[in-house]
Formats: sequence, C-alpha cells, structure tokens
Amino acid sequence: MTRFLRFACPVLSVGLLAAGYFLVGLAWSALGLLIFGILWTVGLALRWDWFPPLALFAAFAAAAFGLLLDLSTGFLISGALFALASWDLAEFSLRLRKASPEDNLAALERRHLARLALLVLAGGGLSAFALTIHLTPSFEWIVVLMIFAVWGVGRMVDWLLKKE
Amino acid sequence: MNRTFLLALLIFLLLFFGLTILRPAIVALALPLVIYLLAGLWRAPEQVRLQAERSLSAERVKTGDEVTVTLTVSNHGSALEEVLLEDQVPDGLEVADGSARRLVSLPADGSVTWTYTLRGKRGYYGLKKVRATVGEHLGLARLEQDLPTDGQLFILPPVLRLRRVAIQPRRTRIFSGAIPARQGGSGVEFFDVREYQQGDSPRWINWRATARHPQDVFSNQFEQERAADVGLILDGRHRTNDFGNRPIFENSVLATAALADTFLNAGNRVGLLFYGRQITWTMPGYGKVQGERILHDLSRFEPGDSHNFNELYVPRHLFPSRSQLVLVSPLIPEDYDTLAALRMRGYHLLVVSPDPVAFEADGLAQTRTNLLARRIVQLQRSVLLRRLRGAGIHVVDWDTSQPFEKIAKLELEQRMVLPRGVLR
Repeated sequence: MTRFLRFACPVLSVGLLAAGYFLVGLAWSALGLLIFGILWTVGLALRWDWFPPLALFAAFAAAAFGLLLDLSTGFLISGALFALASWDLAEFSLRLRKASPEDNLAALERRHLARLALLVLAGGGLSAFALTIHLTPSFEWIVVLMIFAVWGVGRMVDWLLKKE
Repeated sequence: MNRTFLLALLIFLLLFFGLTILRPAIVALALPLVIYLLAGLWRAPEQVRLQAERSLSAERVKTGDEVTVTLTVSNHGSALEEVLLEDQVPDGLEVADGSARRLVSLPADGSVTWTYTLRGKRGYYGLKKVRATVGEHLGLARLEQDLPTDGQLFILPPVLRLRRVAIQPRRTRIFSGAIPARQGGSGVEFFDVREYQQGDSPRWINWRATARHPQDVFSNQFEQERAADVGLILDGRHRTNDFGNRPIFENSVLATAALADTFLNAGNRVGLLFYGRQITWTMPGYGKVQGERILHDLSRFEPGDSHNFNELYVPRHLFPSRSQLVLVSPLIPEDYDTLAALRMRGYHLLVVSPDPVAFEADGLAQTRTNLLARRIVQLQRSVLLRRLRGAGIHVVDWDTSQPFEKIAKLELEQRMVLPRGVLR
C-alpha cells in the first residue's frame, strides 16, 4: 500500500497543481509542473533520498504562487496536501527499508497511513475553514499575528530540537 | 536536513509571506503543515527506558562457524510507537541469517526478542551495545539511545593437524615427551652401546659387540625422549606483514596455531610471544588448557607497529637458555642480526617464513617491470635465508599458495641436518 501511495501522491499533487494552472490558461507553467512531476516520480523510483524535501518545497512554492495569482484554491491546496503526504511517505518508506522480514510491517503501515490520512484531512479541513470565514484583520492585528507566528514557530523548533 | 527544521522553515516562510502581502490563502496553506508538526510534537517520546539483554550460543568458535545471537529489548517506560533496534555488529563480522535490526512498536512493559546468526573472520569482537532509535509515527521527533549489553565473541583461527615437528633443542625438561634428549636411557631410537648392567633387558644385548669382546657383554642404549620448552614467536609487525588488504598475517597465525597444537600434543611446554604494536606474552604451559589459551590469544592479535622497537626484539629472559624457539615471520633482511644473536646464545631456532614476495607478486600484473622487481626481491630473500641457514637456523620457506600441511610434511617432519661445522 505504501509503495503504491508513494507514487500516487506525487502524481496527484503535480496533477492537481498543474490543473490549477492550466484551467486559467497558464499552459507552460502546467507543463513545467508536469515535467517536475515526472522527475519527482523518477527520483522516487531511483531512490534519490534528497529529492522529496526539495519536491515538498517546490510544490508548496507552486501552490503559494498560484494562490498569489488567484488560481483555484481547491486545486492548489489539495496539490500541496498530496505533496506533504508524498514527503511523509518517502521518509516512512526509508524507515521501512531498515525493517527486518520478521517485523509486523503491515500493522506499522496501517497505523501510519491512518494517522497521515487523518492529519491531511484535518489540515485540509482547517485550511478550507480558514478560507471560508473571510476575516479582514487590521494592520495592527496583522503585525501582532506576524510577531506571534514567528515567535511561536521559533519556540516550537527550539523545543523540538532540544527534545531530540 | 532535519525534517522538523524543514517543516518549520516552510511554515515560517508561508506565514511571513502570507502576512506580509496580506493573503489569507497563503496563511491557510501553512495550516496543514502546522497540524502535521503539532501532531509529531504531541506524540514525541518523552522518556525512554529500554533495557537490552544478549545471549550468544557460543563465545568461542572456529573460523567459519556460526553463532546465534539472541537479543531481548524490554520497555520499562511508556508505550513507544516506533522503535528501530539495531545491534551494533562490529567490522569483521557479518550477519549470516536473520537480521540484526528490528522495527517495532513497544507497549509499556512490553518486550521484543529476536535471534540472528553471525559469522566472521578471526578476531575478538565486543558486542556491547544495541542502538535504539525511538520516534513517533511521523518520524519528526527522534531519540537515539545506546543500550549496553554484555557480549564478546572470540573467533579462533583454524588449527591444522600436523603429524610431528622434528626439533632437537640442547636442553630438555625432565618429563618424558617426544624430543630426543641426547642422553642414553629408555627410548626407541638407538643411541649408544655400553657394558651390560644388572637390570638391562636381555633383548637389549648387542650380540655383535659382545662377540667381538668375549670377556664382556654389551647392551644397547636408547635415546631418551623428553619434553622440551618451546617458545613460539609470532611476528606481527606492520612492516613485515603489510601488503594492502591482503592478509599474509593470517598465514602466520595459521602456522602458529598448527605448530602450537603439534608441540603441545607432543607433551612440550609451549609459550607464545606476539610481537606487534606491543609485546604480548602467553605464559608457557602444557596440555589442552594451554592450547586453548594460545588460540584465545591468537584470535585477538592484529598486526601493528611497536613504538619502542624498530627491529625485531626477542626478550631473552622469557625463554630458558638453549631451549627451542620457533619464529613465524615473513622476515626482512634486518632480522638477521637478531636471529643470529639468538643462535649464538645457544637457542635452537626454527623459522617458518611465509614468502612475502610470492604472496605479493600473486596479486600483481605480470608485467616485465613487476617480474624483474620480483626477481630482485626474491634474490634478496634467498640471500637472507641462505645466511640464516648458514648460521644454523632451520628455515622453512613457505610459498603461501601451497597449503601449510604440505610444507610441514616436507620440511618439518624430518630432523634438520645442519651443514658441517655449524654449531649444534
């Protein structure tokens, strides 16, 4: 199952992102994304372990740029979510490679996929919810939010790194 | 790149970008990543309390034999979602069957037990730790811990069975053995004729000598056979054993093990001196226990360079004077003086020398230059061996492409006949 999803997620991610671009007439950008998708799939097949993080960055950059151009939000956020799932599965399959034949890999895979599906759905749902409420905060609120976001992410990273 | 860092960086960039240009959609794009990061953070392992136990099917095995390793890892802390357990298998050992790794989930107070088999090259191996990498299912937060275990493995060199090794030191011990003692008495080999004495068996009467001297009766004497002190010296210097990755030292170890076994089986007292990075001395002893002790030590020896001695150094106080010394070494020309000095001190010397020239040439291309170089070095070696033989040292030149048993049968089973005029 993981092997299938490892290849399906990048295809879906790139497909959705390309569709988002293609539907507003940006055919060359869509083509570029499709070529990137092919490269991504080849990278997975050839086990280029450095490629999935790069692909995650690229997919989110493409989604953010699309949102900046007011392209279809649904296509772009879904594409980004599949990129996140693909990045996660690439790392998970790296960990599975270290398992021995007698390990209960089916149970590990089941638990992992269930949690990933839940997180992707929750993330997608929250994004969709955030986009539907249409809040228009004032400039002061934005500055406060920005400071809070930077501080929060910094603290979180610091805490995680210390924990490791 | 660290996954957590990568994720946080991406979140930070999206938030910064979205808030700077006032695009809520871009901020919303960061939300799935935030959820993912928080989920990993929430399930991160707090405290790991794992304990590992190891048992081996045998701690001492012969080269080529397999050892079954059984590992049990118990979790005395909270449940762990994903634990990668990796037994740290030292270099020189390989997993023959099964796997030295497990990827499991460990409930609180749960444990996992697995077995696998190892085999490897001659050596001593400490199996001291199991590495545990604990994480949650998303693999964001990980903790690495080395779990200490007890375990050691000696892979002993193979012991070739030789029929006998003929040595004749000038000094023997009082116990009966297999070494001719140059003294008349009970034995097998004819030694001398003397006047018949009361108690001599009539079967010992030498009728021919008695017939020549009708007034007296003569009886045969036989050469006493006794145990001897044998000091084995294994040369582990880098400069004599270093041929890239090809281990001529293994040949020396093989020969030493075979010789030690043969001398001990003949009832001799055998000690072993290893000369490598440091000098290691296995106290002399008799019998099977000593054989095991020597094999045990041989399994640990690795070539190295001594910081104290550039030349071959044999501490004479370790060996009784006039005893038998057996040096196993590829030899270099500088060794001549040391060996000649030992010979002058009255030691009987047997040198078993794996031929380093043939050994190295075996791995080289047969070019004209290589052939010429080989010829020159071979000549140098021949000169050295001839000088050693001239000094009364029994030298066995062992072409390592031939099995040691064959060489031993040809050159070690018969007593050495020294050239005329050489000190015995």
